[in-house]
Amino acid sequence: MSFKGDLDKIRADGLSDARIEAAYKAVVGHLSRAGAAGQALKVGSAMPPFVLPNAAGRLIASDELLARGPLVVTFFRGSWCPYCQRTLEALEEALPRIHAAGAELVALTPDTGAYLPDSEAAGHLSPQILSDVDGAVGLQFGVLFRAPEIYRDLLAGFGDDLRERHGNEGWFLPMPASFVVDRTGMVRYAFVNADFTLRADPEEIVQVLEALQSQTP
Amino acid sequence: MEMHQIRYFLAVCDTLNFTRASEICNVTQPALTRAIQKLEEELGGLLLRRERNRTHLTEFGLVMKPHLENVLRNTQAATTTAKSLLKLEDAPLNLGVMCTIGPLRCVGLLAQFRKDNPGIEASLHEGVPVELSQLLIQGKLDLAIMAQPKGFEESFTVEPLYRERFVVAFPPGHRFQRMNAVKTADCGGESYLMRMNCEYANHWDEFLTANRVDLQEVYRSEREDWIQTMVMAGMGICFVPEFSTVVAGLHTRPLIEPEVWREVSLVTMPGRRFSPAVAAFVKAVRQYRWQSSAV
Repeated sequence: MSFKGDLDKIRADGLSDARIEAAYKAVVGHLSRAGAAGQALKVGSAMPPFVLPNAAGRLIASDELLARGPLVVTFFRGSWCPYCQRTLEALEEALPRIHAAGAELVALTPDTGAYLPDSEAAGHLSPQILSDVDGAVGLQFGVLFRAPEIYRDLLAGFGDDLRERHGNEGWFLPMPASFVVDRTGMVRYAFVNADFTLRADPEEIVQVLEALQSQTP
Repeated sequence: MEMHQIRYFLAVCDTLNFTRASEICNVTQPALTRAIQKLEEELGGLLLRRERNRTHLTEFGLVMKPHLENVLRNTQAATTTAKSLLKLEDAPLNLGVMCTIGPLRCVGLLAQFRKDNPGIEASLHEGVPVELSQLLIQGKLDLAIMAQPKGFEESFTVEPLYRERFVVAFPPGHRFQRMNAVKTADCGGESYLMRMNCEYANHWDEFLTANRVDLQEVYRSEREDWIQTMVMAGMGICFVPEFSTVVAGLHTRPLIEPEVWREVSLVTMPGRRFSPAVAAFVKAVRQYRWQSSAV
């Protein structure tokens, strides 16, 4: 099935549970009212540089990656989130084409330590999955928010205690977002949505990168 | 949530005065007020209460403040690190490690950190928690890895790393060797070697009295290796955290009925800005796959 078809199916399954539906509406409503997606980095703005660790504890610097070519920066909530899981799979599938377009990819999550997907869980993507400790980089990208109470309760009820995963009690999460940044550090593509069931299609990201590559002499 | 909103809020926390906070932040007071209101809407609660002459933090404000400080501090660290990744060696790193933490616990972390950040010069200070806490406050340590049975002073930022159970250590051939676990009551009558530097030393006294276990204390020492060597020599038993055994051949069994656990944490000073070297190390500590005792 297609990427979008899969996400639609996950949503249809999830929202058939009234508790999940109520919590979902609370998150999306809260973020939409606050105009949260509008605060995120926009096309044409400069990406703040960052250095973050991956599951192996190695520090990855955005500057070093940009020296090699354009960079895809994607924010996800954690491996506990089925939409994120599916998106990571799709990104892993797209990785050879991202590299063929001369680009690199990093996926940032507020999960820390043992909660970061290792190579067994995330395959070739694992070294590129970085722990955005305390959501600090998410804040700079304008995608960080605090989960509303009904959503916190729902997650805690499922055993997904973000306090433990994040190593802090803030309950901060990123809106799912994907950015394509060119070698100069300028954002050339931005996808940010208050609705966490909607994700940038990796296919679209590859197209943006291929277009960038054809523009570069 | 935006960075400036958090900065403005923290400025009001510092000054408890909107006028002064807006001067510090170099914005107009209405702009500062609006930004904080926006933050309150986003976080879902009032952070500040404004009365005629006074401004103070609400309960919710008190809860959120350390988290917002943390995010902001890490934001600075992530960018400072990015800017000066090549200059890490300019900033030496002073680590405190509680003396009852076994070297095997930390060596993996230290080796990995060294490999990833070859430029950083780090010195390791060993001590009891009270000393390490003092050095942290004085700025002589950047961070410490330690435990404290009754919790730390409120002013520290404490992030739990792993949980570790206490075991009974004894020499080969001891009667405990036939047991899978040793009940506290079973220790009655044994000769006992006391680890003086154990942050739980006082706790053990109370614990043994409370459990009506009578031990004959034969020696006490500040040194883990001495105590454990004396145990090996058949001079007595000791209670020791599972990962702190350093003497080869020492036998251990979990202590049960009741179990005793300690929680080892990363301890830093809130509000103190991390140098790039410290930020890199804090990240490495958090990323390290600390193993807790099996349950």
